[in-house]
Amino acid sequence: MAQILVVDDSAAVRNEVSTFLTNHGFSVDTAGDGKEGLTKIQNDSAIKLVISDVNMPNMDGLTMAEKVRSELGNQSVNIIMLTTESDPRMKERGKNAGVKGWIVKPFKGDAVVGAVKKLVS
Amino acid sequence: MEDKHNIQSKALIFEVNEEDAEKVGHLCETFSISGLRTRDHNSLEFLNQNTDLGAIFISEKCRIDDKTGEELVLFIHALRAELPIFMRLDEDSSQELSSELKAAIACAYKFSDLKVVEDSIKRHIFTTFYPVPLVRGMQEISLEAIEANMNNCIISVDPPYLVKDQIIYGELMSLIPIQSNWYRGSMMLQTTEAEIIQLIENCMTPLNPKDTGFRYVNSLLNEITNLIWGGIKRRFGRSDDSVNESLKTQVPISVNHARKYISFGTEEPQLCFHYQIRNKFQEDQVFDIYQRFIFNLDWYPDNFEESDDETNKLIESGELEFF
Repeated sequence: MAQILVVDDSAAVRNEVSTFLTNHGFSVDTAGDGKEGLTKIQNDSAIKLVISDVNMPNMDGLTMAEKVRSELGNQSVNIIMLTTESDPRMKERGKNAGVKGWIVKPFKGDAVVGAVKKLVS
Repeated sequence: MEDKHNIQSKALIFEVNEEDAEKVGHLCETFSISGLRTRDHNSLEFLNQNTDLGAIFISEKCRIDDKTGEELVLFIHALRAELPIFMRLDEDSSQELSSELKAAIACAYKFSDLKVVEDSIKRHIFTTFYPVPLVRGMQEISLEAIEANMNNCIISVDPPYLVKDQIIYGELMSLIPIQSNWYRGSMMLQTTEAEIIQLIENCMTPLNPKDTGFRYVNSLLNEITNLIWGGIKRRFGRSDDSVNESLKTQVPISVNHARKYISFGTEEPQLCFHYQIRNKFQEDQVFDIYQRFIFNLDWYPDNFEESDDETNKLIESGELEFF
């Protein structure tokens, strides 16, 4: 049972974000791509927030966000993208999939923690 | 850190005496080529130690390991065919070069007529124009990406240089396509595994210090690669970049593991940056990252475009944008 799911194909990013959030008292689970992330969201109803990369193998973060809404019918989980991408067309696609926020890497830990506090509380 | 963005190159100089080596060194300097001289005349070792070269300068009188100048040229050409070899003949040399030798060298020249070699250097090494803001931007983006993944270290970077070698440095390599409407190619990062493991163990990376398995080590290099890729796309991509990939051509990238060799199907020089990362608390702990840009598919620097500062401010890294 985790409050937050961190989805990123980079172990370095998964570890860094998880450590930040765990140190601020959140329970965190991780997934290595959008496909694994989708499965974890489906199986763990405690997840309130997903922090996801965009470019990942097997399933990208935006496709995962779209499937969370369309296939799982889950409209309540909050999703933030944490990515090197900043293309307005991608952000638009994210907005349409119900993504709540966008952080461009390299990220600031405070920005992530601030967003999480706002969306989880 | 010194801010130099004039593009250089590196070459090995094989000369018999100091005076001639000095003259060739001076010729190299006029082209911003860093001439490395062989002092112990152990060519193989010296050649093997340098895998990011732009050229070879060799005298016909050179003798190493019982090989004559001509034999050496053919030997080096067989080992590193992508390197242009500039062969210096003695002033009184009237020797007719064999067809095999002619095919192996970029040019034969004498000190009395340097124009021949000067033209050949321009034709073989400095063939591609790289806009200064592009080179500066690539370096800034890359430094930021490395810094974001390394703690407690001092990072230095050499001036950018052109490489014709296609030898892979170290055991770790990442490769990613980069493209916009005016460039298309790949970016490659190369480094050594043992040194990255040391960084992880010393808590100098975002990874857990116990995560030293090779997959974790790879993931660190991949994340740096990913950050650089994103930065380049933001800064040098164009808003009207086409998304129809199916119509674009590709060429195979071939790798020979036994020879640590990678080819992108072009002999154009590659733009190289060398970063040295030093542990702030243990200065003898150093590791290197070699970064190469290979624009083997499209390169139209006349259409170079950089995102303006206002756009960059709006998408400042690390800040959260709520929808």
